[in-house]
Amino acid sequence: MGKTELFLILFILPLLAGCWDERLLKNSRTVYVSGFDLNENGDYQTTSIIRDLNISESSRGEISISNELVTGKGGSIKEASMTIDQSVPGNYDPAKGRTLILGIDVAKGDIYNVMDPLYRDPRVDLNAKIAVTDNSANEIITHLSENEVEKGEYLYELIHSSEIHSEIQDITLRSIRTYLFDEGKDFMLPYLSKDEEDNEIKINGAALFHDHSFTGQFLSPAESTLLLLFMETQSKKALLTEQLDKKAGGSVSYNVKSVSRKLRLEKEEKVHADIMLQLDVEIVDYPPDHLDKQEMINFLENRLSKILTEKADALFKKLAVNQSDVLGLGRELIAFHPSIWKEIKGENYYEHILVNPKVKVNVRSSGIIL
Amino acid sequence: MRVKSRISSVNLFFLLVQTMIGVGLLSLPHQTHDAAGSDGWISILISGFFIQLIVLLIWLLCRNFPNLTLFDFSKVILGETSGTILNFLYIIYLLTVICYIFIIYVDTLKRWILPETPAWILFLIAFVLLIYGSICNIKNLVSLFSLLFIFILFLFFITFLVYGDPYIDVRYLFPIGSSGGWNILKSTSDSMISFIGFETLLIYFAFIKQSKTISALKGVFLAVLFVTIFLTYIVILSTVMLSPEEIKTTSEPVLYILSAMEIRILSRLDLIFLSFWGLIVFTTIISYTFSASMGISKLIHIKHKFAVILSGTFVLIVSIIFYYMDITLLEKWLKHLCLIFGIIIPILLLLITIIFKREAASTYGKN
Repeated sequence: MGKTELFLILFILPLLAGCWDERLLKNSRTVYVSGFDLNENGDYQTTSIIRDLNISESSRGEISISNELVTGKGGSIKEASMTIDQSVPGNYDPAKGRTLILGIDVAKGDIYNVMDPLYRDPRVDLNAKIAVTDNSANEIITHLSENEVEKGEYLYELIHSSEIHSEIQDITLRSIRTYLFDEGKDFMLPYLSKDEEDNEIKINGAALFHDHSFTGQFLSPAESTLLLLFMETQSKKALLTEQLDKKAGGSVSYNVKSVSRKLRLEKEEKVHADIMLQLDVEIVDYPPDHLDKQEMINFLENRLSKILTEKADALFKKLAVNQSDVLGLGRELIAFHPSIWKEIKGENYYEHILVNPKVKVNVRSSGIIL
Repeated sequence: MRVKSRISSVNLFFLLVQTMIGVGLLSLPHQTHDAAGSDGWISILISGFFIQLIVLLIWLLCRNFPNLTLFDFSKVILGETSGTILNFLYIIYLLTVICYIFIIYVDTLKRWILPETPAWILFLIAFVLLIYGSICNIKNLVSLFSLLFIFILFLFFITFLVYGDPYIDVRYLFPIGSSGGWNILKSTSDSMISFIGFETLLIYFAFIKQSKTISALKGVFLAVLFVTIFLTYIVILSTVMLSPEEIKTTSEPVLYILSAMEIRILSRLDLIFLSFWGLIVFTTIISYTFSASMGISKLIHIKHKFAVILSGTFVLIVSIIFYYMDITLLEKWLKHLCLIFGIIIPILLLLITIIFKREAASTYGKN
């Protein structure tokens, strides 16, 4: 080895050995779930569950985990977390929070105010889930810390399983920013509430957003599944159940296998959006059977198409009232009909759009029996 | 002085690709979006086409002086004194580019992965690597660059993982041409800066075998084509993933997208991307230092080794000064400088060569 290389290695070694950016797990107070509330004075309140890692030195470095509930107040989210930092030993590190909960007051205002500091930190987990509650976030988190063993993970799994069943839109901290900055798209978040009877936290449905704030209305899981089908973003499972009349035999449950959507936008007095949705479904629960007969299948298809079309009508009326463009029709107009968009653009463009949905159901399969 | 070593057309491809793909990669979608909105990718394609023409002109210039670098033939074209001045300016320009790359490199690393590390440590590490990498001959350079080409392919591969993401919305690309033809054309001058690196051809063409034949150009054309496609791909990817207003407030869209990706056991792909990207940036730095040092060693007649140390020290000091003073200042200058030194001066030199019929033989033929 030449002298130069040796010199260079000696020179560079002290630079690397420093490990300037080490952050030891034992020093940081890792956050598992955070909630944000807004009180009457306009102050933000942050509530978090912190997981403490205690490595005891006496019993062979055995690790014990304890949880701690902390709250902090401040004029901004960052200030609130600074208050928490002052009250806990070690560094309050919000980076690992898997779930964020927005209290109703925060959600009704501009939710980007809460998100902003998170996006500026490179260590924040952008895959965190976000939820809205019907009360304060503090209440939900206090409940979690008292009653659930898994705390933050519990909420994450709760939301995740609803996503798998296409009951709520799959939204993470990263994707919500795309929606917030997009003038032609809105979104919905899981709507949490505490069930007093069962003493449990449940997802009640999907909270509808308009622009940056919660409209106050939410969709039931079934409605939201239907809407996800219209958006063609359902996950592998999308189970729906419809009540049929007595003669047809009670109720039928079916799983949507695939969706194809045809969308036509036309400008008349208003902008008419004709949406034709074709669903390929698999019957999963239909006690009367007789699906071996073609007329039975036809009957079922017609009935379901009719029911779903009616439901879709009601659904889009609800969206229109709240001006929540979850379907992203505004973006569709910007992209493919810029001339129409120019006429109607503005914050309340959804007023000018009239949606005319139509659903056609095709029964493709019925499990391993007919 | 004629250069001794020879490289092939394929080698030139690697040299050029590694020099051109560099520090601009991360912020490119943000910059093109500022200039041309969702049509940024069109502006990249146009710039790419334009660069092909420039490269052709540089080749036409260099083929008159086989095996001579810019620092030699400038004297043939302009005469001893003005040639030396031009050489000096080019050296300063090349060093400025390195300073710029240094600053952006350190700034990005500090913001994304090493917030606690003092900037001067990072500058020092970069400085050591620069000297270590640049004390070599062109053959070493080529073998290093062709090896590290794998990492460019890695970058490609990492970004493919994004396609698993459900939020991709192709509609963000539409309506195509919404920013208007004139705006797109105007924005090409901004996106030109992401292609800088092609001006090193003024030096590298000297090393090529049979520089008079068109085959010398093949590697260069392919390199520019590769870079154009790569950059266009990166821009389209970011446009599709993020909404228009969002890109405006995201300075490194590619990293931002990757930091949210998760594949089974791996998350935070941006860290992996950044570490590969660091290598790619270093090839750019090494390539520029190599060219600048060649100029310095010819200008003040010192060995290549000392020229490298000299330019490294200069870059270290200047970049630290600029880093603590004003980060954006160099970028503003560079936008104009790269137009002057990459495009205008080569064209002027070419015109003079054609009009006054300057040839290498006129001065060196006698020896």
